[in-house]
Amino acid sequence: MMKQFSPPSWFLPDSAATDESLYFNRRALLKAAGLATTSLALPSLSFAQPGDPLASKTNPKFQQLEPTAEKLTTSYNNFYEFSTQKQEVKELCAGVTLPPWQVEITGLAQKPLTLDLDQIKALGLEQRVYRLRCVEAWSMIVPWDGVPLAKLIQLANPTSKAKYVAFVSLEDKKLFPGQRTSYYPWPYAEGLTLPEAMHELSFLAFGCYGKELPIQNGAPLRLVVPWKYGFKSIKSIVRITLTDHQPATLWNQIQPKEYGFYANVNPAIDHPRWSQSSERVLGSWFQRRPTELFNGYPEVAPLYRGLDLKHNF
Amino acid sequence: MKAKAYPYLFILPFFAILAQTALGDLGANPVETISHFTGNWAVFVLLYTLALGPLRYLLPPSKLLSWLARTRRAPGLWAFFYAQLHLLIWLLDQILGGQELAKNLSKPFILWGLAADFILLILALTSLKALQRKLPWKKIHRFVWFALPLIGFHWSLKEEGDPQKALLWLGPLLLLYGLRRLKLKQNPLRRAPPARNPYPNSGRDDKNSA
Repeated sequence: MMKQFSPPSWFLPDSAATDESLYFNRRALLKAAGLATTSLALPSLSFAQPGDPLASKTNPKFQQLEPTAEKLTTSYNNFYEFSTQKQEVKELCAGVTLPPWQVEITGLAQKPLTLDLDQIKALGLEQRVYRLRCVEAWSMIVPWDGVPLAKLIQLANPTSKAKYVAFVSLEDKKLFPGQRTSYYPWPYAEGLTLPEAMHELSFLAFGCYGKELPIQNGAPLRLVVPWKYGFKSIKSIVRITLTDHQPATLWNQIQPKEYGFYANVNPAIDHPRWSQSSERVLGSWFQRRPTELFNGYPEVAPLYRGLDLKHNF
Repeated sequence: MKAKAYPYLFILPFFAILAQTALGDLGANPVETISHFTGNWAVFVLLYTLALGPLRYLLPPSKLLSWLARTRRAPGLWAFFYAQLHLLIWLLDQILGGQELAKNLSKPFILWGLAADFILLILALTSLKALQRKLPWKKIHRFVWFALPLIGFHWSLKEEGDPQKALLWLGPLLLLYGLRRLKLKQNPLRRAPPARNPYPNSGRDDKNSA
């Protein structure tokens, strides 16, 4: 008797085999599956990238100045988190990806908040053209896209004890190679009095020139206080704290004689290393303009009534 | 071209910045770019020039090293050249920009730099061959070591008071200088490999040539 061929239990017919093309492309399939799950798990992480278009409404009140060429203002950046060389920063920022970002508003607030960037943008983006006067005696004119700082602070509703607003930048030694140097007390910190922060001119910028901020200009959001020296306009903010005491600020801690807490632009008060009476027009060789008190924003003068500006520089 | 002419290579950075200027490639603040560039090169060339002396004592005798050290007048003058460009662009910026020159001149930051430059100026003037024969130029030229701390202060102030960069560059040189002094103290008989003195009446005194 001939033994009948009977397939073993694990036998599968050819028709049941995985299609050859699928088999050869299995890696692509796995990758797609992986991507699908990550984007499912983290739906809120799709955020705007530096340079993306940013729609904002022109604020006609702040449109008198002719902006400096974008090429200049985005390639000349005091951002010590990357480098102390202003011309190096842009290159160091190329290829850097920002982590998911939230901003915490905390301290002496009746309603402490942690907000996504889109939630702050939803307060209403507008474009304002401001002159930025660097303490190094040069200035540039930038069209910023953002929201008035007062709107955000009002959301948190400061208590009656709140007198100052402290700002802190992201601390991340991997992202910011400059933070590996021990000379500076990282993270970058700045501060304003509450009335200064609530002033109409104080601005939180998400973009410039109608686009999301380039990283070298302080992405994803930065402060712009146009009547103060540029270093007060802290970049890449992660936390805003309402306090009852004057907060410590990075430059004031490093060189208290050179960088005061107020740091209002004032042609009459020298920097210990140079006169502040004039400023170089960025992009030019020797062309300078006389520096104006409060950088040409006299409407802030009432904030300092009765304050000795020479002592409180 | 003779080997003797090698210091002419130190003109290359000058050509580089000239080319950058011609191409309009100096960035948003051309004056600052030139100022930093020339300041850096003044220091680099000066450090090279000054390192030759101690290295000649500390390293095993070598003809090349001793020749480089003997002919370091030319690189020294190139350091002076870049220092003058550094000063010139600052002065031009003050004058053409209508700045408060007198006020800015009185700032310690500027004074440290000017003092260092003054030392370099004296050294450059006394390195004229005609003067070398009349003056104790070797003794005068030891003043160059005073320029180093002045440069260090000037540079550190520029770096917002952070001395790290200045120390990184100037520190090793001061270390070399100290090592040489130490070595001479321990073994005063050890001298540099015999070198032909190019300026026989120049005040070069072997008893004090530390």
